[in-house]
Amino acid sequence: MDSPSSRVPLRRTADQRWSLFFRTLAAVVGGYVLTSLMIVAFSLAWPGHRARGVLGVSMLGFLIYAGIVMWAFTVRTARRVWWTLLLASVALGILITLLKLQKAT
Amino acid sequence: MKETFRHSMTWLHTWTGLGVGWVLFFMFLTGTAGYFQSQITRWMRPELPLAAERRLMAPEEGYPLTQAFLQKQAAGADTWGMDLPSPGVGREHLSVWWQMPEGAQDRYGNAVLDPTTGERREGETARSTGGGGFLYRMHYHLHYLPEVWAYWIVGFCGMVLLLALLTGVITHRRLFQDFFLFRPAQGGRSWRDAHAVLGVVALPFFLMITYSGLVFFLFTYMPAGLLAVFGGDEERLEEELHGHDSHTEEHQDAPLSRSGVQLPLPSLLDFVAKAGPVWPESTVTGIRVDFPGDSNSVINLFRHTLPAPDSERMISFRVSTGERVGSEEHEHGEDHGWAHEVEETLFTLHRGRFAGPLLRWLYFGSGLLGCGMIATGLILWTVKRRPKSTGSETSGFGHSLVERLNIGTIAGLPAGIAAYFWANRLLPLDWAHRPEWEAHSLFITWAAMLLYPAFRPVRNAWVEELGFAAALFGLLPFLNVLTTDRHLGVTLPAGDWELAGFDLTMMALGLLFAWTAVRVRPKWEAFPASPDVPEPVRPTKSSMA
Repeated sequence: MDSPSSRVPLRRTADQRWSLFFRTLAAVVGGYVLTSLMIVAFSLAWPGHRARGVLGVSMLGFLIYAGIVMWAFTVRTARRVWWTLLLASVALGILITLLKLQKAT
Repeated sequence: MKETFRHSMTWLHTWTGLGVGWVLFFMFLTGTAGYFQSQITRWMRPELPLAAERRLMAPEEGYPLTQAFLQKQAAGADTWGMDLPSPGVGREHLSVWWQMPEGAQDRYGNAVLDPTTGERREGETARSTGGGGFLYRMHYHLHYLPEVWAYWIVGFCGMVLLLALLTGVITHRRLFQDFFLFRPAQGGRSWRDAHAVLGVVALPFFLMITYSGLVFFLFTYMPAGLLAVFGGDEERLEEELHGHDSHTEEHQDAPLSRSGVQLPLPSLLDFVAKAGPVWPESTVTGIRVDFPGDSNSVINLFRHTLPAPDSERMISFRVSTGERVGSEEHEHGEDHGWAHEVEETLFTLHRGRFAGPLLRWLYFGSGLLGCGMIATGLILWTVKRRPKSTGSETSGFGHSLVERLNIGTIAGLPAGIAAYFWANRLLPLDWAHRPEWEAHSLFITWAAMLLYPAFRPVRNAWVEELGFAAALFGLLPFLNVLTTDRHLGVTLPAGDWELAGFDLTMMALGLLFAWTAVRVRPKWEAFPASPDVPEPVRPTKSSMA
C-alpha cells in the first residue's frame, strides 16, 4: 500500500474484472477441492493409525487451503491458476485411485 | 497479479479483511464477553445472594438431603443427578434432577432444594435472563439464523480471518522490524500503525483462537478425509481414535442397563469419601447415579472446578462391588495419539475454562485487542480512500457504505450489548418473554445504529454514536442503583468483586468510548466534509475556524 499507484482506486477494465472473478473462484472453489483431495490422498497413504492420520491432516487442511488461496493471488494470470489447480487435482485423483486399488488388493 | 508478492498479499489482506470485518467484529466482541459469561449471568440475576452471603455446602451437608429427596420423589428412576451450590461455575443452588424410565408420564424432572429443610423450594427466585451464555453462544451460533447456516457463515468468516492474519503478517511485516515506530496523530499512517501494533501484540492469541475455532467444526468444514476413510461416520473415527478395545471393554465394565435385582443404594457419602484420596484438592460438587436401587447401579462423582486444564472431571464407582469403574482418568492415561492431543489442546485453549482470574482477564484483554485490530483495520480502509487521500472529487457509494457500516458496527454493536444489559434491568420481571426481548433489544439497538449514519454526516455520526455508547455503558451502574440492591454501593463494601467488577468494567468501557468520541471530534473537524453528504450548517464552528 506504499506505492502511490495503489492509493488511486483502480478503474478496472471489464477484462480485469472477469479475470479477478475467475481467479477468486479458482482460489475459493478450486482451492477447496484441491485441499480436500490432498486430505484424502494423505489419509489413504498414511501408514500409521488411520484415525489419527485423518484427524491430523484434516486439521492441517485449513492451513493448506489458506496457502493455496494465497498462492492463487500471486500467479500472473488467472488462466494459469486454473490450469495448475486442474493438473494438480487430476494428479491427486490418479494417486487416490491407485491408493484405493492398492488397499482393495 | 500485482507487481510483487507483497503487493498481492496486501491486496488480499485488504479485501478479505473488509469482506468479513463486521461479522468478525461481532464474533470477537461477543466471544470476548463470553470469557466472563458466568460473571455476566450473575450480574443479570441480581436476586441471587452476594458472595459473602452465599451458603456453600459441604458434601456431608448436601448429599444426605438430595438423596433423601430423590428417594421420595423419584424412586425407580433411570438417573438421578444432584449438584451442590458452586457459584464459580454459575450454580447457585442445591439442586436435583431425575430421569424416569422410558414411557413414564413425567419423564424428566428437576427441583431446587431448600438448604436447611431439604424440601423443594417453590418458585424460581431469580429473574429469567439470557445471561452471559447468550452472548457467548452468539459468537458461533449467531442469532435469528438456523444453526447450520450460522456454522457455515462463522466457518467462512473464520477461514477468511485466518487468511487475513497470514497475509497481514506479510503486509505489515515491516512492523516486526520497527515495532517501536508508532507514529501517533498522523492520519492514515497512525491508523495503519495502530492496526498493525494491535495485530502484532496479540498475534499468537489471534492465530490460536482462529485456528482452534475452525477445528471445533473440523469435520463440518473439512469432511473429505472422514468421507474417504470412514464413509463420513464420525463416531467410527472417534471409536478408532480411542481404541476399539478399551472403549468396548469399558462399556462392558459398566453395564448400561438394569439387572432387575434390587440393591438398596448406600449412603452417597461413602463414595464421596472414596474420592478423597483421588482428588485431594477438590470437592465433589456433583453426583450422577445410574439406576439407583438396582444391582447394576453406578455412581459418578463430578467436580466442577478443575485443578488443571487436563484433569479429569468424573470418577465412577460400582455400587455392588464398591470398585472404581472405567473413568476418565482411565482413558486419560491412554495414548490417543498426537492428533487427538493437538485437537484437545486447541479446544482447551480456545475455551479458556481453566483460566483463573488473571488469565481470564488476559483472555478478555486479548479479545478486546482483536476487536481493536478489526475496527482499526476497517477504519484504515476508509481513511485511505477518503477523497482527500485519493485525489478524486467524491467518494463513491462503496466508500460511504463502508464508512456507515463501520460506524453502525464499531460504535453501534457495543451500544447494542449495553442495551442488552439495560433491557435486563428495565423489562418487567415476571414477563414470560423476557430473555427473548433482552436479545431483541440488542439487535434493535444495533439496527438503529446501522441506520442512523445514513441520515447524518459521517463525522457527526461517529461522535454521536460513540457518545451514545459511552452513555449506555457509563450510566449502567447508575441504572443498577435505581433498579436493584446489587449496585456498587452494596457490592463494594461487601467485597463482592465479581458483581462490582462488572459495574466497574461498564464504567471503564463508558470512559473508553467517551474518550474515543472526544479524540475523534477534532480529527473530523480538521477533515474537509466528504462531499457525498450535505455539510451541516454550523456558522459558529466555521467562523471559529
